[in-house]
Amino acid sequence: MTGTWLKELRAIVGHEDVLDSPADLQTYEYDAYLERCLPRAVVFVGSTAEVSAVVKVLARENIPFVPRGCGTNLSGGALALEGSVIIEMGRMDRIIEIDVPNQRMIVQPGIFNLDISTALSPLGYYYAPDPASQKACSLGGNIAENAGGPHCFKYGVTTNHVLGLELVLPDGEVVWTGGKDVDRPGFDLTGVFVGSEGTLGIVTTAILRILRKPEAVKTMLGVCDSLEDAGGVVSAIVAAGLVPATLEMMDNRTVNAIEDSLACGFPRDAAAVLLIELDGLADGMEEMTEQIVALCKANGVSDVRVARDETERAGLWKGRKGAFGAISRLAPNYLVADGTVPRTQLPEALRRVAEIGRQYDLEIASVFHAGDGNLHPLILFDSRNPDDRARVMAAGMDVLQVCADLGGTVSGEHGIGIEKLAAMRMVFSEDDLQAQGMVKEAFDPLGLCNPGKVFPAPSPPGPPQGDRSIAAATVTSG
Amino acid sequence: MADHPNHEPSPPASGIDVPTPDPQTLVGRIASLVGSERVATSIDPGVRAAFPSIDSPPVVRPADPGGVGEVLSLAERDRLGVVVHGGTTRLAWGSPPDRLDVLLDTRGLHGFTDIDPENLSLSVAAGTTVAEARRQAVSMDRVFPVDAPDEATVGGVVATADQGARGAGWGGLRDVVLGLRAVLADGTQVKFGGRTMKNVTGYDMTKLFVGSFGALGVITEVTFRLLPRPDTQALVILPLCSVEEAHSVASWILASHLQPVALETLGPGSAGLSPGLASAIPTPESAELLMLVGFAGHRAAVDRSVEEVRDHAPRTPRTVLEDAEAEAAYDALAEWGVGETGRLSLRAGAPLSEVWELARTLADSGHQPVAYRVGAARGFFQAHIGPGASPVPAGSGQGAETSSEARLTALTETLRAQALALGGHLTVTGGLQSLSPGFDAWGDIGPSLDLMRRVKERFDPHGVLNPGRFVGGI
Amino acid sequence: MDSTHTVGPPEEFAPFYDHVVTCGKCGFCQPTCPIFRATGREGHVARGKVALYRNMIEERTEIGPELKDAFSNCLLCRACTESCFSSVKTDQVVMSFRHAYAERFGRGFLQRRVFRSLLPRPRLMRALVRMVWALRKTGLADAARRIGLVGLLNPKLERALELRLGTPGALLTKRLSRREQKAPSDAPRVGYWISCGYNYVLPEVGESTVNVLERMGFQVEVLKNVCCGLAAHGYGDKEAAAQLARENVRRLGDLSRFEAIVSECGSCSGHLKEYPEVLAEDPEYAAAATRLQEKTRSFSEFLVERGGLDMLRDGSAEEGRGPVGEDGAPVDVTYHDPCHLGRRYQNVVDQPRDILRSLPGVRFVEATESDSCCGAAGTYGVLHPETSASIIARKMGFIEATGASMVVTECPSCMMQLSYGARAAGLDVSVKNVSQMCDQA
Repeated sequence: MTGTWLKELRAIVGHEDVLDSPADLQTYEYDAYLERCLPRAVVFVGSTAEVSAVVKVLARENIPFVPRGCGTNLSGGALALEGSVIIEMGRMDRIIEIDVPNQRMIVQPGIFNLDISTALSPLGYYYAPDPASQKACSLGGNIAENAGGPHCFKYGVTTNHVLGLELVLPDGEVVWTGGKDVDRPGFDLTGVFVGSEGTLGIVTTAILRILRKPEAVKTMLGVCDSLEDAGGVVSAIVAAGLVPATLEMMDNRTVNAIEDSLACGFPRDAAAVLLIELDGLADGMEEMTEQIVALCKANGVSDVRVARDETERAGLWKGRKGAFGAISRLAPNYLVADGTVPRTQLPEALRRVAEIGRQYDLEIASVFHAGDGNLHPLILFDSRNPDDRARVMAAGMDVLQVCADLGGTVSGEHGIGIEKLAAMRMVFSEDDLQAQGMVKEAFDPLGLCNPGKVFPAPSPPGPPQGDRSIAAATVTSG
Repeated sequence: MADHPNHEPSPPASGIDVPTPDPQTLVGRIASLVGSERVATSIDPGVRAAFPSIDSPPVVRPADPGGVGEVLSLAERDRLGVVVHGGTTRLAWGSPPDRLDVLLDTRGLHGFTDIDPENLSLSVAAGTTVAEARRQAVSMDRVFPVDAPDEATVGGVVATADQGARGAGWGGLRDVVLGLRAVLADGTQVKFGGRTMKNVTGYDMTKLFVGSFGALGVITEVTFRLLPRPDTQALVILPLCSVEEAHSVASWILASHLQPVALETLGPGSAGLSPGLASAIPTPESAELLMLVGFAGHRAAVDRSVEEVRDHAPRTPRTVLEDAEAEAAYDALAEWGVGETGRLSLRAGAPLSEVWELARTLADSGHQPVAYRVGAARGFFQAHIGPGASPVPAGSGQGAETSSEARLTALTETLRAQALALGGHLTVTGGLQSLSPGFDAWGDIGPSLDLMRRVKERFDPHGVLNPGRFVGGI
Repeated sequence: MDSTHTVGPPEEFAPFYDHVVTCGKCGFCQPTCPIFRATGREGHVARGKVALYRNMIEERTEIGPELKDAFSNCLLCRACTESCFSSVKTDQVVMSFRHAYAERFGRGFLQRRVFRSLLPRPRLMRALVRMVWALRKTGLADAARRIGLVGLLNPKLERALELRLGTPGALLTKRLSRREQKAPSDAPRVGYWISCGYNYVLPEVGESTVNVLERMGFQVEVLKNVCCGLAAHGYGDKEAAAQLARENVRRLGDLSRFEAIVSECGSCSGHLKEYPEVLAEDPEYAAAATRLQEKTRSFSEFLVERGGLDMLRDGSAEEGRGPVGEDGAPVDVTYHDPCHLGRRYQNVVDQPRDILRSLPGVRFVEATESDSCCGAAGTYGVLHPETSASIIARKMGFIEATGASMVVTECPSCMMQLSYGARAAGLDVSVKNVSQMCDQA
């Protein structure tokens, strides 16, 4: 280790764009998960060339690194483990091209997800993957986590809308995968990169698919007396051939929290509230709405509200949008768990989650994407209390086991990060993990790119990590 | 004694000097692993059509993934080359194999392992045909979102990412496959993805395998996303007089609020390229090109879409097929070009508004006979080109003596150069032997080829799986 | 680590502990923070400041000069609090740090001399300011700036001088003292609050405000107040802020003679409404502070409350008045919400817009992010000129997109910043106060 590498980084990006003072590093030791780990340094990059040059220096020095967008990741994906240097991508937030005739857009990864659709709006287009955090998360982060959002049921997730990537590989080489065209010959490297949680390289440019904004939107909300009723409605909608754009659900605890702070007029004994949105051509929208209202009533959901204009629509969404805020008032902190089950298993999943809450003496309020079975139990606790933290982590793991047991998976949209390393074995065999490891080896033979994420330690323990442990800070909880 | 295929082989991926295996012993050894009823020496005619110059390697048709594993373990140990096929409908896509010591027929892997219409997922053994999968979905009032030839296997369709007309609405194979099981080169069985759409658990290996042409593993099972059965569907058929006209109509549709599930344009004479197409689609005499615009969904929305397209159409007649008739048309369209294996066939992709340039170039080339097709919503261009007459290439300095090989090669090179310049790609999907020897079926992949090689090396270090068939000789 | 050096976190942090731990680190504060939008530094956004603050309480770090950059980079605009699921009041956290830091490490020149010695002495202030403008008039100041002398001395001072081109002439207090009372002596009376910004830099605005108040039929008493103290308060100098507040309460005397205390400076009116909090430690001033809070109105608020919209709508019918703008052509106008007037403080949001919509000859168009801080934030623009320039540049982009030829606001600091921003962007957009618009109509 030459020790001049910091100076070299400063020479590449500018003196002020390398942070290494303790105060500065403390502001980069966290993301939206519960753990902390001090990075070795933070480098703000402004171009693909800078990213490549920085990575080359770090690779030469055998120093691991983590690409970071807005640090909103919920599973610890943006934590700098093993003395990693954070490569902060936020400055690379430009729109490079909007290509309407080809339905494509080229952007830099540091851009806020919402800013993409805001820029497209005047043209009558939008970018479909819209995670609930879209105003605060970066596209690069979305790509790393294959972000979803409430419109997945109809429109898919990030990987269905990313067609090409300019990457800086962990040795500093710059390559393009994919392009504006689809089904290019060769391996779908773009496809395997999306969702790889920043462990295979760094995105510096992305080619996105953009869609025409739908002509019409229709929103309705049903108040359900039981989870089975809610599930029945969703099944009936599917059976009727309808593909709603959104199907969001909130459980009783969430409903009560919402009523405490937002007063949306939900009955406090409602088992669940179901928010349904249709989009597409205006023709037939009224009939489809009536059809859904009838299906609701046929499945025991008698209280159905249909929005007649934009104001009413905002009113119906108010509860869902304010749900996390309302829940945050119930306790100092919450852990957002994230798992997926086949949709019909949702009532059973929620029952078992409630049981876990009782078992660990923890309050749990759930919000879920009912269309695709992705659930988010919010587990309430006080992060200052070590006993609370231990119980929350254990409860979180149990929730994932429930999802795995019911035929689902342990991460719907937040990624494995470090939070769910142990959960990987709930769904994958050693052979499965090893196969994924082969992809990692192909991209990152030195293992420098976002170390310690996604893959649990080999069992039995593998060979030691070498001298990279010198500057490694241990993971602390907080 | 098995001969190697009669052309210049590229070096095996591993670089090891490989001995010629003895088929009698090989057949015996395979039989002892999977049962002699699973091994044959007669080769499917489709395989012969795709690889005209191969000899007679043993053909094994395992009944389960375990059997596949046994064969591959053996192949890896003995450094054999295994070529995998299903229904052989697309076997001519890509380069011929470097080595072909064993043919692995996946059609013994048959059936449905998980049927969940409520949760919109269907897990299918790889050797099951597309037709069977479709029937199963229909019986459950669901849609199997793949337009591909009836006899193709789902594994083959996934390996070639072979999505047809209604990919405009359904997406490509990468968008409808939720998970899969495979056997790796050394016989290890693995599973990727799952049964849910929301899934970011580990790497998206499913994407890596879709369209990988069997280079990374043998797919043994695929979990597909199903769609609800739409209220109704309709297919509008418009006659058009030129590529420009078709481009204009297609652009208008794509920029509108309409959401076509299919947007295909058939060039002159291409209706004849599928046996059922002429009867399924009424073709007006005057039409140079035929544009097919499909819609599916709620009746009112479909009706309005059909009306808007008809109003916008520049000429008559404007025929509409509904429901069963539309379905028959899609079936026929999925068979387009199947059985044309001997002829030169090309498949190109380009950005949506650029892809028409390729059709223009081909139409303007004056080459005959040609049949082409443009999938405007996804940016696809496909062509079947016969060896017949074409104008002498400019500057060739030769008279009518120019061989058909030279003409076809020149034409293919022109189209490929244009596709690449437009930001797309062009591959030879059949009739490679009608081009100059050594012509690269895949074209220049660009700098990411290196990364692809590294991936291949990890998964198949000894080049067991479909050696040499894929890009860059992978 | 030498344990004798650790004295523990400032005691005044402790009451905030339960509050700051509710930060779930979701990061939703990031897109709404104008400073984060400009610099991209985690330490400059609420989440980072809250993390450092919590670290100090938990003794994972110590209060010290290293943390100054984070805590001085705050506009106190409360945009973060508004988008925070837990409604963490980062502005209060920041002010708490600033106060504690000064207590422990001493106060800078600004605090000692300006907040505590200069601001409470209006006569001294006026003399000093007149001297500065006089120097300006001689061209010496500009010359010094042009040859970089000022920049050498203090880049922040250079910025302060940039914000106002030319000289204002006589101070507002002087101008108003020369006025004749127009209203009859039995007319209801309002107290007109003198804002430092208008007094020293933009006196023409004050004249317009008084004109409009008189036109509304009020007797206007020009108050002999000193600086309201917001700058000191935001700086965390609670003592100086309280000192100024007490001085003002004394000077204003018995408020019952007034219908209202009116200010067309959103910062002043906003801060006056916070006087009970500022004087929370002075029980003998509590009642007076509360009365002052109850009487205070911002200009738009007051005008709309008192039926002024009709007066404006009918304005062009009066003699000598016409629609805003030349040649009767309608003027496209947009509005910028001063932080202290806007939704997150006084919530006077509709009134200025209603006023603009009522003015004949004015076409009102809403700008994107009209409610986001302009980046002046009192001393911030002078202490962090580059970031402040980035912030206003972004805002000017949105203003340009409206096509408006005029941007209206209700705060002198915002006015100066918007003028600077328009010049820096090369935009032909004039900046006016709401009261000036009303005066013209």
